[in-house]
Amino acid sequence: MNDAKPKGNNEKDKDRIFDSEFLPHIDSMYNFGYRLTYDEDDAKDLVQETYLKAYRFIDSFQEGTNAKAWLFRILKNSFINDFRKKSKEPAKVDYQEVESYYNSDDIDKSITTDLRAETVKDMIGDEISSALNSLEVDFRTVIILCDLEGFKYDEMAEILDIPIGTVRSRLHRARNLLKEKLSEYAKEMGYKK
Amino acid sequence: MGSSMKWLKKNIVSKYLMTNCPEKTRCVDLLHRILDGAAEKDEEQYFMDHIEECWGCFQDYKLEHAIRELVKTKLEKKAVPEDLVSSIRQRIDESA
Repeated sequence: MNDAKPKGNNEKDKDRIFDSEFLPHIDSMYNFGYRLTYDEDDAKDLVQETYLKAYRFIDSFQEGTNAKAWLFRILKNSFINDFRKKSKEPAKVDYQEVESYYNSDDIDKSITTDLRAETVKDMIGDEISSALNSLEVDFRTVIILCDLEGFKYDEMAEILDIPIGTVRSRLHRARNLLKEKLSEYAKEMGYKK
Repeated sequence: MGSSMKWLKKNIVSKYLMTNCPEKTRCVDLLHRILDGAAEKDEEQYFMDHIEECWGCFQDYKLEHAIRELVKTKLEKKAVPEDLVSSIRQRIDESA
């Protein structure tokens, strides 16, 4: 297939782990990358970088442990450390500032909307996409990890390098913001209660 | 008979019984943990019994469940570019 040198046992072992533990997650990884960057080429680069790093550090991976969470963690770190710096997207809002704003009491008061389950069930992909895209990336990320990828709170804490309590409060705020957005769409589109 | 009574209770009776839950904060926390698969069995049982009586929490539960379903089922999924895996393999081989 290519001109690469024949591989030794160690290399073969690495390839086996790579194929059986890492590659099955490529679909989720690519979609995660895309939802962080909103650009197909950038998502591709991010996923490629992630897999190269995973291969390079494969010795530190223990077979049978949570490969998906490990890969997501690498991708998230690549996004923050490499990608955001290079990207042409405007400088990110200071996360601490955002978090303290959303931690303020008035935001924490339970969000009451007119939104009803029946209305949400009638919504389409475009509406949930736009609502999710409108969220600041850290809020968007927790919704994706939890609802779309099914990660548990402790796994999310590892992926994001934050305490479980912060995972939960960030999720809580993200959900409220998403709900408000969906409620706005419902009003604009003339969905009735 | 059983199910129509249940319906009546949820849709008519409870509406007038309890709309402002006195344990709202606890219930909101619980319903999220249940939907995120992080609650204990007995907590879940408690909450399911509770929403039989509490109209407000029943509505909250339905809404939060519907939003999660919306995210899970209607968000567009991007297909992985066909050449992605082969280009990853190629770069690995190059760096070996």
